[in-house]
Amino acid sequence: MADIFTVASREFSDIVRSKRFIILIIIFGLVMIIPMATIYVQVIHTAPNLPGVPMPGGFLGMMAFMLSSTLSTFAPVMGLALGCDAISGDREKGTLKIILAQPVYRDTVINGKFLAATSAVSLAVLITSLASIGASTIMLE
Amino acid sequence: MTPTAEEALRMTLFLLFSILFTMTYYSIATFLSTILKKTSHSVILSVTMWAIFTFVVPIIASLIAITIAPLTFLPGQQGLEESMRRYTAIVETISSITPNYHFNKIGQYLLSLYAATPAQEETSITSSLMYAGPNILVLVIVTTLLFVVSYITFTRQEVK
Repeated sequence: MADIFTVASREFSDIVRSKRFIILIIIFGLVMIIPMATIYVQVIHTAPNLPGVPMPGGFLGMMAFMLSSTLSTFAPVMGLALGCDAISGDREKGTLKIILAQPVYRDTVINGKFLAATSAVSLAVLITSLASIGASTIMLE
Repeated sequence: MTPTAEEALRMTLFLLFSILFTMTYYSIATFLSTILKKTSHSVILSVTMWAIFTFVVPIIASLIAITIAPLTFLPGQQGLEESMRRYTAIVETISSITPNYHFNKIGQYLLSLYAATPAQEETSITSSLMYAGPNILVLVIVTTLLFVVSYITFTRQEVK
């Protein structure tokens, strides 16, 4: 069990320190904030003047508008970017042989990778979503 | 604008399901990365799958639906509501092969996108979760299944 956490923490620090992860965070931060700004301009400035147009209710309505559509289109890319070289990347670099030469079981390696990816994905989703929620809360003040 | 406690809770739950949804795609990519020899192949295939699920399936779904259940906008037509319902049903049935559809459903139930319409009464968080239950289950099952398959493939693979 302790082995899993060793593998996972090595994997997690590899992911989080990689250029790819930082670029992903920056791009998704922008992708999440920019639609919010667009909606702010469109909804806040035009919709109240249109009679009979039901406005989405309150905080959640605004967020639901933006978050669910942006996340359902772009969150998969985050998962794909982290997962597409999970095993084959290590195989190509030759690090898989080195890892498996250590006294660890194979299932520990793949479980550790999954655990590390879960943490990294959670971190990425939370950072980008909180950034956009924060930005929109400020805009709506 | 300050969210109420319930709104904050709904938001937190929604973010948790966003993580689940992202992990579904992570396991698709990991699965491809396990069965394919080269990273470049798994990148191409997984991006293709993302594009198909996100952009192609919804378009095909509405094309098929419009062919099977054409919408009629003639004035005084009685069956408009009925044909709308059939159209939506067909679109949803076809889209339900994608994880994106299930995530969107969870978002709709949890964030109550239609809360603004007066016809819909207030639903509690537990009943929102109950409505979204089948969709949550689909995402959990797909993620677990793909992980188990890549687990089995990886533990039996020959490493050269």
